[in-house]
Amino acid sequence: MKDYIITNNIRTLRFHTGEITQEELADKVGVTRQTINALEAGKYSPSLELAFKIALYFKVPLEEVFMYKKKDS
Amino acid sequence: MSKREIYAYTSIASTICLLGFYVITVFGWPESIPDVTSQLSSLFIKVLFFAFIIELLLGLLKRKNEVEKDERDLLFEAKGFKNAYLFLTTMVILILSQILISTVIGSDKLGFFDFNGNPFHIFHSLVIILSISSLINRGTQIFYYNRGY
Repeated sequence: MKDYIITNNIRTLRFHTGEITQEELADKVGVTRQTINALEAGKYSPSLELAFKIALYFKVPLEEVFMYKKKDS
Repeated sequence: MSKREIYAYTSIASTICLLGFYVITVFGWPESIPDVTSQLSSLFIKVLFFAFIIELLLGLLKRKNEVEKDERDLLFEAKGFKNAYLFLTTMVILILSQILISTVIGSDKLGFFDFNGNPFHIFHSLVIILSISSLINRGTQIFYYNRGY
């Protein structure tokens, strides 16, 4: 069983970046809209490259987008 | 639902229909059950037609700058192929073992499972195994699309 999970702030960051849509973000980072949706829902952990691309798009450090947390916290 | 997910569903539907056609044609309909071959065939044709139309529409409806397949699709595809490959190799090894066993202990002791007696049994078995491995491949993809990874 996994003790740690990867969470993210993509939804919040989208809100603070002019409420861009999932589709717009997906086009910018080169994935499908469904992948962004799965990321936001916590149903998919991205590759390191995709994680960096998303952080780069929002112009924030990687750890502000993705967090590695203990499951219960 | 992504295009790849829809393709997985249409592929499963098409494979089930083709497998159904094949099994009914090769083995016939069991006598103990009322014959619904014509209704089933009609249903299979309709499903195949709809699957074809859906895939055609998906191919035509393409957005500008649209990403056809990304890392998530490739990952789930790889998982599907892995499971299908495991099933396929296991079944092929079983068939090969069966041929070897029937050669060593004699073909009369294995009854229906004696492929040496009828080479068409091997052919039909392999066709069915290939179809099932395709179903496993697509089924695994759908499982991960729904459950997440």
